Amino acid sequence: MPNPASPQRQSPGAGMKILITASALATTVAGWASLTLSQAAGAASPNPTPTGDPVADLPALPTIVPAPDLGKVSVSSAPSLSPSAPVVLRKVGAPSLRSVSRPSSAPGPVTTTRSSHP
Amino acid sequence: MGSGMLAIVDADGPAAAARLALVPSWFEVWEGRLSRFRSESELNRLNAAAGVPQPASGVLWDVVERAIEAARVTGGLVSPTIASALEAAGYDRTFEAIGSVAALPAQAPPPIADWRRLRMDRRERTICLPPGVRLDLGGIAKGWAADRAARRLRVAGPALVDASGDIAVSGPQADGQPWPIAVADPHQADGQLDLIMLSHGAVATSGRDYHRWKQGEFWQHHIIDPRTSRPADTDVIAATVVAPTAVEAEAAAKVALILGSRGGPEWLEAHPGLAGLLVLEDGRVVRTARMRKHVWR
Repeated sequence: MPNPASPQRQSPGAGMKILITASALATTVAGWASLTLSQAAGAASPNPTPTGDPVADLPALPTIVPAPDLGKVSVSSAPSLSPSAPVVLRKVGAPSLRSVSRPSSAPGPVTTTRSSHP
Repeated sequence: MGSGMLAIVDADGPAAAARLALVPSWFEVWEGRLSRFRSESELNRLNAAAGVPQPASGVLWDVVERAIEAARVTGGLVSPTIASALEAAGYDRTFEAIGSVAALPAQAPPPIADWRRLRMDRRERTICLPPGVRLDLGGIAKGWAADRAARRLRVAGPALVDASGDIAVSGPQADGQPWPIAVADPHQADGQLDLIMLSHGAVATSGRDYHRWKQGEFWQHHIIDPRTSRPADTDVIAATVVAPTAVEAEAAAKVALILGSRGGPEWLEAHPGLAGLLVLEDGRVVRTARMRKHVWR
């Protein structure tokens, strides 16, 4: 019987993990959104001089923020998730936002279920 | 409980080691309460006093309560009132002692008492067995011990407790991964059928492969079918069930074995919390639909 205090076993979670958090994605999308809205304001009002009309009376701007093309968003691998590293890289490729790679071979069992055994 | 156990805490440090060191003493206490093979056990004192309400410890109360709940859920297919039938089948001593006997004399099985005749007084915390009725808590006690120990260990870290094949986990391992647990192949020594990845709950196996003995002309085993008072006549060699608790897994595995390949899978499918794997006499392996999500692929 294995020593319960120090089980000798292989960690089944040894595979590389690729992860992006929802908050990181939200931050990036928000960044895109604010940039695009600034550009849109300039385009809608070519003369920057105020006309005196209150801004509040302006009709609502059309939604021109492009939805992120999730199919073209890939994520950095876990080792790159340092504070200085980009969290999201925009490139064509991996289709999933979150994936966890599994070990290619089955992990070794920590124990076995069977009918009563001594 | 006449069997080995294993406890793992997925954490380093003295706190985890100290907690683990307590596990054998927990099992020793529980065995002293629940074993049919210890003459001074609380269970045997209760069995010897049928017809008279007996005060029960928290442990005995808890396990009898779960045994009755298992009987209710399984429609009586798993009943604690089978002690006399087990003994009539030859299981009147430990498996080790049975192994040293060439063949036991045949006995007619007694009828099995209706589990609904047990009386439990919650306020007084007493249990009263009907006259002539004795309890066996074997498998349910094993599952209960696994559940209880895993719950006690989780304060020190993610835990797994294997009480002789009834396995409970407190949650995923420290790295978030499920615990890999092999399902033994009853047709092949040291063989493995599947690898179950268990993050929560429990898994248990009930089988007639490991413990069997000859009584008269016939091979007997310890899974009693309460409908006949005899060891179950079934084409299932072993049944493995994943369930929210080890008690539930143990009871459901027994039901699957008793009902056989025709009724066992259907019964498991009808209970949403259960997933099962049945090994048949002819070598076939039957898995319920929900078992696929637990098995390594």
